[in-house]
Amino acid sequence: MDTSTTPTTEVLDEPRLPTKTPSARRITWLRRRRALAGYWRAYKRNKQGMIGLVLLLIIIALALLAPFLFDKAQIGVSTSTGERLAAPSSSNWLGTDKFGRDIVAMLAYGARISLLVGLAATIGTMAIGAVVGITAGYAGGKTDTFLNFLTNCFLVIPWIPLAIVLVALMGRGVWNIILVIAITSWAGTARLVRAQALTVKERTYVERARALGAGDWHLVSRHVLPNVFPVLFSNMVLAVSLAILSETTLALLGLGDPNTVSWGTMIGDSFEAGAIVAGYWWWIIPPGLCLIAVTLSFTMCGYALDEILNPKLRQR
Amino acid sequence: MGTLGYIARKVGAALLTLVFVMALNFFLFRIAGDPISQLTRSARLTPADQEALREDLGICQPPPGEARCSVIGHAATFPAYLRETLTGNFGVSVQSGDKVTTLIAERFWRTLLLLGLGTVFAIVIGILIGIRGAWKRGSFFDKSTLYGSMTLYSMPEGWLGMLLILLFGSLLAIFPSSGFQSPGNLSGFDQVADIANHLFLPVLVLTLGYIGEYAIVMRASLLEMMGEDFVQTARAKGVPDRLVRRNHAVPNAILPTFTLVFLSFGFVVGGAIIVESVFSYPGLGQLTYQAINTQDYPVLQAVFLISSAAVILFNLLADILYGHLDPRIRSA
Amino acid sequence: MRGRRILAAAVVMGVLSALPLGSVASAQESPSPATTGEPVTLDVGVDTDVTSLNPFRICCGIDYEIMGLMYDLSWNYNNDTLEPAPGIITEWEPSEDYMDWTLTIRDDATFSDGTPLTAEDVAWTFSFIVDNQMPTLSLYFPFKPTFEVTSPTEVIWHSSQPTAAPDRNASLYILPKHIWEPVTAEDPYSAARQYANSEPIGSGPFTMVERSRDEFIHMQARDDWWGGQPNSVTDIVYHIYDNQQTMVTALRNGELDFVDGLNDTLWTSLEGQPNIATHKGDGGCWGNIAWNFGGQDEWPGGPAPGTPTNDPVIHEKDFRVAVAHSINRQELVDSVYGGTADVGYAMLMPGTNPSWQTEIPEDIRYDYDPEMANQILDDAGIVDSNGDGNREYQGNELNIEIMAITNVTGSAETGQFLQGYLADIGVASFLTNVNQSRAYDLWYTGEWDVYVWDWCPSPDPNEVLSYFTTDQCLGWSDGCWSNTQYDDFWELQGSQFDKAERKATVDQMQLLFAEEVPTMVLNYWSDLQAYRTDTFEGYVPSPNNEQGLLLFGWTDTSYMELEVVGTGEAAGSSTGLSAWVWIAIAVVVALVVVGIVLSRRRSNAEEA
Repeated sequence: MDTSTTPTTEVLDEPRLPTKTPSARRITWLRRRRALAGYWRAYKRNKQGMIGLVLLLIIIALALLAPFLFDKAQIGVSTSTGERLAAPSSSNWLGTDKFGRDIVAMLAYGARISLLVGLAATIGTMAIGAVVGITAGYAGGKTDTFLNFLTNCFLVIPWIPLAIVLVALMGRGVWNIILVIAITSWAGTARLVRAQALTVKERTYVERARALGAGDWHLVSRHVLPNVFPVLFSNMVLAVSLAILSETTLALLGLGDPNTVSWGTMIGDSFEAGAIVAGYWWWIIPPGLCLIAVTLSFTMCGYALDEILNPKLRQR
Repeated sequence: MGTLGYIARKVGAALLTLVFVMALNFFLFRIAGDPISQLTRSARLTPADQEALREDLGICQPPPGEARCSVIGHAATFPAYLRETLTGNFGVSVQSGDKVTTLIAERFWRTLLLLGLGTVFAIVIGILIGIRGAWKRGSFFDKSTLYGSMTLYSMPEGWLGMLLILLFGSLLAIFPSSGFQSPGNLSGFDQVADIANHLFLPVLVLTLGYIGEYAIVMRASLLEMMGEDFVQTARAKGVPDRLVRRNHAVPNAILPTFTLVFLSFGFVVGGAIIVESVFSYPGLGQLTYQAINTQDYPVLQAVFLISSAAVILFNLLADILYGHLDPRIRSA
Repeated sequence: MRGRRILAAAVVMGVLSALPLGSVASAQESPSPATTGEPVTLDVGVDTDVTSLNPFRICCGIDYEIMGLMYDLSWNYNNDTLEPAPGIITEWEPSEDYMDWTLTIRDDATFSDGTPLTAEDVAWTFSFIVDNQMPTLSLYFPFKPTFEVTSPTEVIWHSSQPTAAPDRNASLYILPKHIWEPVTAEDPYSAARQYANSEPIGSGPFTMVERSRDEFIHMQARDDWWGGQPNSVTDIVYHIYDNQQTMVTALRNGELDFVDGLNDTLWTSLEGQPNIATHKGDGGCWGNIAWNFGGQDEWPGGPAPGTPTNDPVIHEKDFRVAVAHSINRQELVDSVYGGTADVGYAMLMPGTNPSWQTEIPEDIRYDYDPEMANQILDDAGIVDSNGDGNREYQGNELNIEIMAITNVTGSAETGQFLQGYLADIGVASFLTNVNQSRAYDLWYTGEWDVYVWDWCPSPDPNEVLSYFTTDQCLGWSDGCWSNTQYDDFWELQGSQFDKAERKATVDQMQLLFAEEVPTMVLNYWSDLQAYRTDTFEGYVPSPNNEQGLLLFGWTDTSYMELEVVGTGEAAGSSTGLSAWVWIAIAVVVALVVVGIVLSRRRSNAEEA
């Protein structure tokens, strides 16, 4: 993927007449840069995408700055010094939870875990999905039949029961939760990628390349993957929101990692404690709003990217 | 031949998937922990008791001197499990001793009712919003509903449920926030009204939770359709917009949306677990969650199987419907 | 065209699908109005349904409450001391040699189907439990006694060895022989455990008239119970909530009169609410940390050879004492349980074992003192010799595995605190969070060092004391602690018929246990209850002391004694719209849909 990330076939097939004859690598690089610049221009025009991006950058900044802004001891059950369930005040802007932990600090540190879960689970999902999808689509034959069957099976298995059993089996660590989300959600991606890989495979230039003696690896890495990537990428951005929501769902069912603070476990804990009925709104509303903000920002970016990377939608 | 062959192929694939799901069920729940070893400690069973219990529940007998079965040991009981399951015998609940089929029969209709109402409302409203939004692309209506849809889509169902409990159950005290019906053996209209009252909040959460997705998909699908040649041609020929929309664009755009409805049924089943546990709604979702907590795997296996079978069935229907409506698919 | 018709159909279906419901719910059994006059209903909120209606399968809180209302106990509990009090058995007299006990059976008890309860029923129930060694219950009958019916009101308990068992809370539900004998004719053990008992017949003060699983249980007072009728309650409905927030909401709205088993956050928030009172009673369990003494590799199917199990340092008493000193019990109570639990030191709790209290002296309470803890470790030679900040034992770096059980309230948080406490005394540790079933697996293979769990004693001390004997290594013992002195004491207390003598032995056991800390008692949990003050009054705690519970205690006293306040109904206690409003809504929606369809059809016709 390092030599050619040009996102669409349209750009690849575009005829160009260079004035000089620069190296092939340079052509690729120039083309790539031009294409990216073009996408960025298109993206900038997309208001919804920009709102999402700005929102996302704010959240990422909060997550990155957390250790500089807040003392990590304040989010530990056994190390926090705050008063129990204190209402918002000048010392705790959003009050504290039942262990006296500062809500704002928890939100900041929780952003890291929520983003980690979202991104890592998505990368896992994409990796499994892409490998299965490309293998199935590219290899064809019996391999395809088998992988396609496996994909279809995982598509229909209701994910929450499966996830709960897997979490019970593996334990409630953050990385286990990430793994569980990846294992239960790769099938959709695999299906999408397979379809894309199938169409790419049939394209004339791929057939030409094969006729010229290109190996499997070359075909997959230079032709199939780069062309599957746009679909994968916009799908990926959308999948991050799904992964973050999945973590919240598990936490709500009492299956979050009790040793870490994420927005999901904050909601899970406050739900279990009955915060909203007990009147501790500051414990449950902020993490919910943060979750909406982060999933919304990823969704908005995802749809914007989809519109740009998928030319069919863009033409109007 | 075409249609029948297509249907036969699809049904065959669905059955195969079902067998795969059964195998997965079987092994997952046995690897997750031997329920007999758990009972051993809490009920002090003698080895003879344990053996009897294993026989009753169809759980593999560990070889002499071992406390638990190997994967191969469990695998040997799989054919028996398959046979029993196919004859409708799901065994008894390890926890309460009730027949699993009884437990499920009691709850099946309640969950179907909840999910049915929730999805139907979500689909109808979502699709209407999607159509209008796409047709008036960029209008205030489109923008506000699009952002609204995305926000609803981003909202954890449990969290939304709690806000509604606070609003309707606690502050306004209009609707009961838990259960399916009131005690006292109501009948007739009173009973229907009682159930409607109990259903209001959970159905509202499910509806709000899924409207967003359907609206977004319908909108995108219609936008795509409006770029198609036949719609453009119809417009160019001077057919009124309203008719183009009604007779050309919408019917074609609704197809992928319905496919999504069928395909997303697995997620809806998942959502039911959350919604049912938030609102203490005695349905299959609640049963699932309780069974997971008590490791009651005869119950779990059955619920898992039924929900998977439902999703498989819905997928099959989607495939057949799709193939019927769009003959091009059949040859693919 | 196609699309719209589907939509219209869907809308209509959505409206109408509420109708076929009648058939679902009407399939339930119809009510059996047994009482005359206006029913007075006590609405109680609980967070779990009964496990089963079969007395041989019950396990948990509400199970005993429901069973206790439907069945009479062989011996009741004295509400002050929780010692045996007359129930179905009114007198029990030992022979000189304590080999035979004469039990006198009450002659005025009848089952709810009208059959009189006689000595036959008592003898059958006891014999069945003994003959089939029913789990847990058979513990009340040591030495496999036999039961002889000498008259309709007399049973002789024949023991093969001298026994005081009939005087030790053998409180069992007396089952009707005429129902259970035929049911258990073949394969009695399995048949008894598998019988659904969905329409229980008992001799208790209430009968069950309606039940919907995980929704509600409706009990009705009998008018022919031997103990008379309750002062005012005629019906009790237990409403089951998965979600405590909705339960509290219902209490506030006046839909419930009483709620049980609240979490500390919600309970605290109810303090000072209008017309609501809160009550903190004995939760019946103590939280603990338990050390693993190993030896599981000798169990069948235990860990594979070479699996790291327990750390050998656990066998050092000094180590255990030092860890105990590092733990701040008060901080745990305040932080983990929001101040609603109580610091505890002994196995036998004031709320459950009021007549078995042992004062644990200060020197073996091992109260919070990290400096002393460090000193003890240094003196014992468990020191940090390589200067990495972590102590070593026998040349190995200490790294204690803490197992926290996530379904157990406060376990995960206590685990985190414990990790901090251990760090303060230079002992590294790591925390594993598992659910209860996984915990049983790990417990069995011995792959843990210390866990955070709980024990729930019963009124007679025999059972909880037995958990820590060597014999229990494959049964109930936490971590296979073995102490011959403790084992001897346990044998001794079993054979002591004089209560004072037995109490002295039990004291010794509690002291030995506290001193050796194989399992460290941390705190006594509370059962947090709340009730409306504008509907009923006159709750009687059980046991009748500060730690007693208003409902869900050891006796049914409150149900019998409660009096109605005012009308017995809280203001605004019904929520929901009436049938007429729903009909109106349905009609409006249907009209709108029909209107749209018609107008579309007309406009289509015009255009066509």
